[in-house]
Amino acid sequence: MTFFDVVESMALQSYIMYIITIIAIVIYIFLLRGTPVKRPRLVWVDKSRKTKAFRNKAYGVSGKPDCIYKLADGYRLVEFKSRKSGIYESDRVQAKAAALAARGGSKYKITEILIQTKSTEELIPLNMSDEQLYQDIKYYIELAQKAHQGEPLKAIPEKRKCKYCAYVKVCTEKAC
Amino acid sequence: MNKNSSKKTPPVAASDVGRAAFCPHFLELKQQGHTPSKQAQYLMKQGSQAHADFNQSITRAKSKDKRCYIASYLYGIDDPRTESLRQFRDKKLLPHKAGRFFVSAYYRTSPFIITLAQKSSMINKLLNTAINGFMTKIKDLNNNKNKGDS
Ligand code: SF4
Repeated sequence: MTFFDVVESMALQSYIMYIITIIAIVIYIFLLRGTPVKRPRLVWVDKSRKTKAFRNKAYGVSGKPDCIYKLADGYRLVEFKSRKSGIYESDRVQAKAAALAARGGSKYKITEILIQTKSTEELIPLNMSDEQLYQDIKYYIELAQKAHQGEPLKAIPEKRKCKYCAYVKVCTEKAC
Repeated sequence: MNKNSSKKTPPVAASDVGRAAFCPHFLELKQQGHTPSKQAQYLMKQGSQAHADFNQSITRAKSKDKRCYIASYLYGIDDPRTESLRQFRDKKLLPHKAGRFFVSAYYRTSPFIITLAQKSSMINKLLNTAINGFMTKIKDLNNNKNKGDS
């Protein structure tokens, strides 16, 4: 076998490998493909104070999230918190109430919530009906309704909360 | 569901529902018309500004540099996470020669990777895990830097 034969066979080998790789990729893409996935698209933003809040009349909740993305199979509501610290239960409850408001007051059927602070974030799947979502936060919705009616409401004093509470000066139940 | 009671009363704001989880007595004091403390008013003003900035940034991102294909594909083109990856690219990678090389290689290969991910949920999951891990690293870096600054 001459030197040129060897070179020729090597070139041929790499050419064959190249073709096989291309064929393998094409087969993978077109024959063994899974479910196509669409990328999220921004569909709603709270532009200013004038932006109208969503209102769910059936459940008596209104709310204005920061933005909403369309996903392949639903909508993601984003709630942004400007603080650096973590995410609290009150943030989750607020975001869920906003999701319930958006579900009833618009075409955006929220299927997940993303809560973000400056240091962390949490994704909450909402694979539930409006009724289940309402039941999840019903206790707090009713408390807010009672407050509107002027009913006295119990305090949950905790140093961490009272320290940053807007009414700490007038509150007689405060922890600090 | 308590539809009757909700019909009688006006809808409650989601922020108030959240405050009820924070401390119900807070809502009572608010309803009584007490003035929030000066510090709270200042924080509220700052919070509103931060929200306006956040919302503007995602709206602005729509009309600016939209490249950062994989993150845009996974999170959405205007998502704050995509924006922070763009910032990482601009501040940490582009000033260095190796970084610029990496970015150009990324731009060349990512459309192909995205095509693969769109066709296969397994590759999509792998990509998600990799980029989420990378995001956590960037956040840790930023947090450490903030701690160092303060
Ligand atoms: S100061 Fe009073 S209203 Fe505020 S969190 Fe503490 S207990 Fe609740």
